[in-house]
Amino acid sequence: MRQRVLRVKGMPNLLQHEKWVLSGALSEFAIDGEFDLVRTIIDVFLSDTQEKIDSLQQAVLTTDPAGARGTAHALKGAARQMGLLRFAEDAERLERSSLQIDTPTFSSIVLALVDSWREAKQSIIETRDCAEFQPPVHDPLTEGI
Amino acid sequence: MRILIAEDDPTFQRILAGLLRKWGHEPVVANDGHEAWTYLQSADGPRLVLLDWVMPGLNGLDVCRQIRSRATYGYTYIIILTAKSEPQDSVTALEAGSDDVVTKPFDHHELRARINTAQRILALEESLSLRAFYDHLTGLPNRTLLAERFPKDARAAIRNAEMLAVLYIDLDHFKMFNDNFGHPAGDAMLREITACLKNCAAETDTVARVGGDEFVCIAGVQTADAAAALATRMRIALDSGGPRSLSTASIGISLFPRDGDNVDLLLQSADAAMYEFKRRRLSNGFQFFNEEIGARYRSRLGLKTRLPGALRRKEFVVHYQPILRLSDLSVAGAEALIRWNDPVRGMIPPAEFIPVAEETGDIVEIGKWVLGQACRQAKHWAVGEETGFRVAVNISASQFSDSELMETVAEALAHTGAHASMLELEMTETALAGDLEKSAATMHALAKIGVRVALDDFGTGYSSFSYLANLPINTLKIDRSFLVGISSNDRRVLVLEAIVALAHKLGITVVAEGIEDADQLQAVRDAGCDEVQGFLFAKPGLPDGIHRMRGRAIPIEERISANPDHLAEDLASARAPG
Repeated sequence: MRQRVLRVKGMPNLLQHEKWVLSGALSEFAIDGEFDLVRTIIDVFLSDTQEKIDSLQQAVLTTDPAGARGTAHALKGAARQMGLLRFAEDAERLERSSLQIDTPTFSSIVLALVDSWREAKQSIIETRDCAEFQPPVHDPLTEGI
Repeated sequence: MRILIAEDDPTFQRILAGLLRKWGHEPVVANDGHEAWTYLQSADGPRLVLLDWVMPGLNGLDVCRQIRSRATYGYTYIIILTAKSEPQDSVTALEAGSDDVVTKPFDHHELRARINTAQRILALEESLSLRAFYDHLTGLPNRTLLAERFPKDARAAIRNAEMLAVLYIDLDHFKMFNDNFGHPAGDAMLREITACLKNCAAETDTVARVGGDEFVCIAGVQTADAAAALATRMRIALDSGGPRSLSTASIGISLFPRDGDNVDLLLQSADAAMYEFKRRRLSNGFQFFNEEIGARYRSRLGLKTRLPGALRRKEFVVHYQPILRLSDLSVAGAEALIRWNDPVRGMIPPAEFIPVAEETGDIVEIGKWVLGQACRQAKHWAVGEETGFRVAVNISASQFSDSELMETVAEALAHTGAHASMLELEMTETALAGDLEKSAATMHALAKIGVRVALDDFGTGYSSFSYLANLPINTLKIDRSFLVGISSNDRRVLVLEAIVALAHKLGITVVAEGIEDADQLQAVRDAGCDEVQGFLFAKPGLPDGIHRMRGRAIPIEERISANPDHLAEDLASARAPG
């Protein structure tokens, strides 16, 4: 039991995940042992971002540039807060773009964003599901060791 | 503390809520600007808001402007959260009324520090509004908060098909209590009274302290009778269960919407009713406002407006009523009585305007003027070094407690050249009662310079023997009310006889006031009074009349000057402080 706790507390492993690491508020929560909260935040972020990416692709189809830029602004904010800097950059590029929505360049920016989201999503899921990122399990046999 | 998170992004909602909980706060989440505004409008809504700028519908800056444009006494601290990162963006947010701006992605240490700052400022604001809206001593709402709450109370009353009773509660003799027992005791009494009043009122009623010894209770009632019952409960609680027997109260009541639809008018009406209660010393314990009281209040208000310039406009005149020796009905002196020739209403008796002058503070200047006039007249009447004749001047309670009284008297004498022994100052027991030690000192100081002192209206108030025994009193004036309808075989003659005997033993002259008929004259003669004053002999008039009467004994027939038709009116005007 004690060993497990120590291992969980040994966040360096977790924090130095090669792709995406918990940072800022999320790492604070994890240090406090608030794993459920961290997991909820990650899941909410994943599903909300996915929804926004979907709506962005929709916006391209329905030629709604203002909607697309608004969505890009929202994506940028949450992505930065989650520490996904490349994805955030791509979102900002779209947000700042003054191009017409039916230009090939605009479409390529959206596509790049969709791509970088796919990568980001993958690395977040890996971290979330990483064996070390598990709450301590109560084990009466090792209790007191 | 409760903190509102106004944020449409679910990830930020979760992160912020998690952090706030971790820091010991209670987060409340609104998904857009409209929802945030709904939370903030409730009376006990959160006072700190983390407000996202870009939201669908009402955006953060719109909410910000709406919060700042509403009139309310609780401050809402706004921290704008934004992913906009140009310097100009922060300026725009601050100009919209936000207190702080935090840029996304935010550093949670920084956010925590900024929330701590917000808490410090809100705590400061709260302590300031406590001071601005609550009475420090009793913890009760003050007049400002009462007024602020009134529209809501009124709406609730209309909704519940109720009336609002506004009870204006004034503690009697509180100033005297404070003077005699000291301010700590007075403060303790006010706190006890507060508890007493709150006990009588319902949980939903408002009890406020609106002045030194004035309280107001606003209560929802179904009928006027219920308001009367509340007033009675308060009176009984203060009289019996109350802290001290001294703390009786005068209560005036106005009703919403019958007597007015705004708090100022209702308070004014309840105050006028309370004043009426005090004036008439009613026994039922309270007075409802009515039109007659309203008219009287307005008339008093008119006097209050016109009185301040009256002295400058030379609208006052002094009349004199002779005081006669009973032995031969020769003139022993005269009482100076002020009249106000008001351009709007004509001659106004002092009984009506002196209390107003006390309120406006004009009494001191008016008193000085009367004193000067009386001394000038005394000098005029003096024959050589003669000191047997005296001019009596009424001194009000506030004049008597004025620290400059001695100076004023000395100045009036010096300025006119009148001899001190020709001046007699008349004061009531009530005027002395405030601070007995100070009163005694003033009276001794007057005696020292040779000015005579008369105790006025004896027989109506305390009629304290200790005053007679301990204070340097030259004259005792028996109040007219004690002598109404008195005749020789009246038991009152025996009482009077005893008082006269006591006074004489102390070297005090006794004057019977308000003598209107021969029976009264005979009665006071039987009792052994020294001097008389009243309409049977002369009404107050211009100084010439006294001049003619001086120095000779006058047959009684010649003295009966009062016109019975005008007697009542004249009597009313004969009571003349000032």
